[in-house]
Order: sequence, then C-alpha cells, then structure tokens
Amino acid sequence: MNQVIRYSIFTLVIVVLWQVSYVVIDNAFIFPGLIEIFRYLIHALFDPGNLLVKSVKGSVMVLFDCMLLGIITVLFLLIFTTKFTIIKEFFMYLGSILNPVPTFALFPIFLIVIGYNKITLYALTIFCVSGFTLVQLIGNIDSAKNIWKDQVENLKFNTIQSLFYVYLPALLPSFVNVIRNMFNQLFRILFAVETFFGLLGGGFSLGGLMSQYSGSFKTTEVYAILVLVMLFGLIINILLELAYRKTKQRFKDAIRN
Amino acid sequence: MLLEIKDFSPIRNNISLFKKKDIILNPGEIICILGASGKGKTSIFECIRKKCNFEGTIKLNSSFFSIWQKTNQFFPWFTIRKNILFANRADKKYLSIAKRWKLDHLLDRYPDHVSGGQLQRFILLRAVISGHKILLCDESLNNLDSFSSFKIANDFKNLIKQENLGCLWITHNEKECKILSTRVIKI
Repeated sequence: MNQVIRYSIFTLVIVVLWQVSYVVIDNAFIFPGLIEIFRYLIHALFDPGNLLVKSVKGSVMVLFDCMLLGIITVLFLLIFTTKFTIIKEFFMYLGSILNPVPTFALFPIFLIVIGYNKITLYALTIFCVSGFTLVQLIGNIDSAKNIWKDQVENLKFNTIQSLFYVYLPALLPSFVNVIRNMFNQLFRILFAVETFFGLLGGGFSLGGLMSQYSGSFKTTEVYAILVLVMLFGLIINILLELAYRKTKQRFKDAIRN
Repeated sequence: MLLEIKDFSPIRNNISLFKKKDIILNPGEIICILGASGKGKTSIFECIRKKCNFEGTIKLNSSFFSIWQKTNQFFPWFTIRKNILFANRADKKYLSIAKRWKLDHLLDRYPDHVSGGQLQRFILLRAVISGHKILLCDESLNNLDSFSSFKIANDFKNLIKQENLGCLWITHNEKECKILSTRVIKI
C-alpha cells in the first residue's frame, strides 16, 4: 500500500480514537474534542491581534535565530577541527561527555551565569550544537576524506577543486541530515525553555502562552497549542526529509563506501 | 625508460613481502604483475605512491595515473563525460575511443546509470587519455565478462602502444595476462 495512503489511514484512526475518547470521557474541561480545538485554532490564527499569532511569531523568530546561529557556529568550528587535529580530538572528547547530559538540565546554570535574556538562549544553542551535531559532522567529513582522498590525489586537485568538486557534493546529503537533527534538538529544548521560563528577553512565545493558559485552566487552548506545535514540527521534518532525499538522489550517499 | 624499480620489496610490519624484484617499464609496454591474493601486488603501487615502506629504489621518469578496483573511481554526482574531463580537459581523444568501444551514447549519463562493466571501460578510457605516461592498473577488468574483457584488453593494449604509454597491470588472472602483457612478473 502506498505510504501516503497508509499514513492517511493512521491519521484517521487517531482522529477517530480521539473523538471516541472525548465522547467516553465526556468532560471537555479535561479532554476537549478535535472540532473545538480546530475551531479555536482557525479563529485564533486568522485574527492578527490574537495572542496565538504573536506567540507563533515570537517562537518561530527565536527558533530561526537559534538555527542560524547553530549553523554558523558549526561551520566556524569545522574550520578549526578540519585544520587542527588536536582541536578535532578535543571536540570529539567534549561531545562524548556532553552527549548523555540533557541540555535542558543545564539551563538553570546558564540563567545564573548569563542572566534572564536572549543571550542565554544563544549560549544554550552554541552549547547544544558543539556536542552531538559537531561530532556527527566531523565523523562524516572523516568518512568522505577516507573514501575520496585517493581519487583527489590521482586527479591532482588543489584544495579549492577538491572542496567544490568532491567534498561539498559528497557531504551535502549529510549536512541536510545534520540540519534536520539540529532542528529537532533545538525545537525541543527551546519549547521546553519557553514553557517553563517564557520568552527570554520579553515578548510572546508558544510555550509561554501554553503555560499561561494551563494556569488559567483554558484546556482547549492548551491542547490547540500542543496540536499546533506538533503540526509545525511535523511539517518542518517532512520538508527536511524531502530535501535530504532529493540531495541524496542527486549527490548519492557518497560518504558510505 | 618510464619507470625503473631495482632490488625492490615492500615492507609491512618490518617484514619484506616478497623476494626482491627488478622492474623496468618502457613506453609501449604492459608489464603484468601476476600473483595470488595477499602476496603484496597492490603494495607495489602503494610504494610507488609513497604510501608504504620498501627496500630498494624506485625511479620515476614520468607522472602516473592510477586505477584501483576497491575505491570509488568516478564521482557519482557528475556525468561520465565530466568525470573523464577531470583527467584531461584539453584532449578530445576520449570521444573517438568511446565511439570505438560503442560507449559514446552513455557519456552524458551518471555513473550509477550504466552497468559495472561499462563503467570499468570508462575508467580505463580515462586513464589512457589522462596525459600521464605511466598507468598503474589494479585488477581493472574484474567486472567484465570474458568476451568483453578479451575485446577491451586488446583495444587497451593497442592504445598503450599507439600512445606510447607504459602500464603496470596487477592481476591474478592468467588469461588476462596472456592477452595484455608484454612481460610478466610473478609474485
């Protein structure tokens, strides 16, 4: 059966189960129906003055800033790790220590040291990407070098040629994959931070709004934000997965021999 | 004389891999290095490329181009034509050779859109037009059926003579050796 049809059937099953649960529980205060949730969402999203729209903008802007900072940080660190073996080894070691540590658990320390502002979020992003993301990329670069260095030598490519003709195309699918992993990591952490601490530096955020509605017992709104966050994460993941498949189709999985 | 190797034996873990050999490669020659797997044949090329320790001397009087069986040869994100042109942009000889080998209609395909045998022929073609006088070929006809390999081996041999190139050819296949070689060195 076609994957789209399968996933559509699974979604339908979840919708039916939700509505059945709503009828059985019979308490919209604890478990609202999907119709009420989507009714609220559609009404709120098409009202520019609504808090939900402002919160979506706030959260998306922060996520975008942190993703950009994460990519720049990783590229910057890559220059040093590819040039100097000792720096590469240091970050591999750092990654192995930091990997098991939940980033969110360290967040209160960042708050104490840096303060209750956006710089804390940026520091959290840098900390996050310097671990697992960087280690993953270093591993992929080493793999690409091992596979292609003989051919680069054989064809007498200089550094610029080897970079543009060989290593960038070879690594492009894995870069897209790494960006997808980075998005998933940052998305989770930033939403968790927003839920507990609001949007650092002021403004509206989805997590903060959800926390506010939860405190005011506005259950439908809480569920609606959760559904919106899930849909947002799902759409971005689907887009990045498509991008990864396209780049892999064009440039092949050329770092696995 | 393109290549002179004297009193040569590769060294791994402080052990010489085989009895010392002399190899002199002249233009127009294909010297087959014949031996079973694991005897150290590929190590000869690694020593020429300065990736391995050895006893004796290696004197190169020209640049070389290598073909290995085990590593990726063509970049899969470029067409076959582009991959060939990386070896030598100026020389259009590849077009006539591709036509002779009935491969010209495949030049604008990607490497994974041709068969393993067809790709192997393109790899040999690229080596011949690379502009280097010495070719180091390591089991380069393995992916071909015996009929195709016979034809390609003959064509390759004629090209080597025509272009005045020299080739060191590693194989464990005696039939291949008989078709290709000017001389054989057994390991």
